[in-house]
Amino acid sequence: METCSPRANEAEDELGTIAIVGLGNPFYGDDGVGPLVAQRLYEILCHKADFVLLEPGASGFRLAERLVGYQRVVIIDAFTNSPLEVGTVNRVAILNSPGCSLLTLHTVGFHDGLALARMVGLEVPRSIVLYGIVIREPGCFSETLSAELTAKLPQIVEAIAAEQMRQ
Amino acid sequence: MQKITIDPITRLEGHGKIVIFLNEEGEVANCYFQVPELRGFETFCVGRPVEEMPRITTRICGVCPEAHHIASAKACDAVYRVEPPSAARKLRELLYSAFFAGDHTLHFYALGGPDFVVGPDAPPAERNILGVIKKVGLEAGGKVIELRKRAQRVVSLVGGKAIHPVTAVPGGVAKPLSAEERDEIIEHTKYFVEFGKFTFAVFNDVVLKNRAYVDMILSDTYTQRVYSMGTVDQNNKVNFYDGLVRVVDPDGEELVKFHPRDYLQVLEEHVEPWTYLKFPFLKRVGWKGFVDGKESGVYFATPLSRLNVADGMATPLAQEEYERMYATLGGKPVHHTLATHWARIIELMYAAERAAELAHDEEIISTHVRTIPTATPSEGVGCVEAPRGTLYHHYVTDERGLLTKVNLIVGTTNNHAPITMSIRKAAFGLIQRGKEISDGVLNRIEMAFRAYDPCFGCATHSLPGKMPLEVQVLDSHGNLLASRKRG
Repeated sequence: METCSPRANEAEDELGTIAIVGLGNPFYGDDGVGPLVAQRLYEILCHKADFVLLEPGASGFRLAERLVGYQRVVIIDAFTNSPLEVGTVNRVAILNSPGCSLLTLHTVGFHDGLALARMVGLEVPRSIVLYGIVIREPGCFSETLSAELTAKLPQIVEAIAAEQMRQ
Repeated sequence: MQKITIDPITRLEGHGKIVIFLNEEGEVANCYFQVPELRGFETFCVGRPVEEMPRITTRICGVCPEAHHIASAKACDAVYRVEPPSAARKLRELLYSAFFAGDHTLHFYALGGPDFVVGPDAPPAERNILGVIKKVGLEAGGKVIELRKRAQRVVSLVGGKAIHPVTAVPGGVAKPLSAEERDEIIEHTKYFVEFGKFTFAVFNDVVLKNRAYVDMILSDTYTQRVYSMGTVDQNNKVNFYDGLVRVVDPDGEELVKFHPRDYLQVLEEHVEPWTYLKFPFLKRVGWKGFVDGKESGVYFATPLSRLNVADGMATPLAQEEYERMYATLGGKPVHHTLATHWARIIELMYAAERAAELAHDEEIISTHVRTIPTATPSEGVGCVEAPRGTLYHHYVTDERGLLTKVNLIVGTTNNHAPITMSIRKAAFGLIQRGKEISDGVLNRIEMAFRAYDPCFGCATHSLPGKMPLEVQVLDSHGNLLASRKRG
């Protein structure tokens, strides 16, 4: 599979049309699955369209600010409160409208930020898709994913990439 | 016994919970503020090269990575006993001032401001930044976005990255500032100052001209007399980046002024069985429980406490408003928790003016930005004033520079006891027998701690659609009497 290196993460001048965003703490075990999957997705997808990889690691309002100007956004995050099997991917189309206040705790304030941008006439993404990957609460700091999630990583990346390539 | 739970608290960065217990008569019996603490970060760091810490600690949370970055770099300076060149210190402070301007702006307009601008009893769906902008005007929304964008741009220019800066290293910073970058930053700082003036006007028009709000700020429900802590410069003026930590008693008399490396001689931590989070207190005064007054070692470390400990602000417009605040609220020190919002925008102005001063300083583009560490590393403490309180990073290493011990006291931890006390006092004052516990009442209780702008790095997640606030009323047997959810 053809891959490419990430370009200028968080370089503000490099706005593309589609932003891939990995949320989560890379030092908190499986919580870091978002940035890891986002990185791999970017390596696959960057030749297919004008993708930009963002790893903001920030709270919701800051995240929203970073997404102003992009047409489409793909967010990868971890869900801990799902009874589903670890590694299951939940795809959620985010209603890009005010009133829906919470995606994950990483994104508290996210809708407020986007709604504010829209209110003052800035261009906000037309489409936001959140892929929530089911994990169990890590419980301790670690730079590595659990063996269970590591084993499923290729199929998680492949599934999301395939869906994005169909867009 | 009834129990009311507010979980999680809305418009907080992270996840906290308030539990209010009522007695058989329907009056408040007790109140707890709980935080699901994420433990083990210090242990995770042990064994790592100390110079990695300024980059690792930015990941503690997504709200204030700049504060951890700078405090950590200062701790590394101390570990290597190296003094950064003057230009490097100024660059760090420039980055930090821009961060402060952006952070305080977000709090005032998005987190704390809605209670005043939209109103404490307004429907929750309207009590947010959009409600603020609708009331203050669309122009304000554009200004907030512009300020935040420019602040992050300055952080990016100086810090190398907009969110997780990488520039600060032991002995200085990794990269000097070019003249072109400096010129751009000067333009941004002009905007910061104008925005500060605009925010003063908003606060004056919306809050100070509303007698009911002023009365609420001054009310006993939101007042507690505890010690104040904050960092001051050599002239006892507020300083975010460097100086000595000063503590004044509830009457404003200095108790102690100490170098941050001596924090363990001044502070001790109290443990309660109902929470993992510890309660720092002033060792010399002692822990007397969750009570205020001169005999209790409880202190707070917030924008308001920083102003209380200082003799003034080091920049003119911030000083002007500082004098106005104390003249309006009856002199120093001020113990009205909600006045913290006023103190915060005074600090916003100070950050703006200080950033402008530093940008105009010719030395800011000096290429001498690092002193290479040569000493054998050992132990060091780094301290800054984070937006939410005094932040300490304390590292011990072996002779190779590998960490053997890490201790962090973050801003919100300083305030754990006063937050708990503020919530208790608000609950006692606002929940009365026979009266409905309305959403407005619960929000007014939340306001008691929202003023502190507590920050708990988020580590747990919930599925989309889950409401961020749940209120439960339980009887003495644990039966659910009523519940309320909102988002």
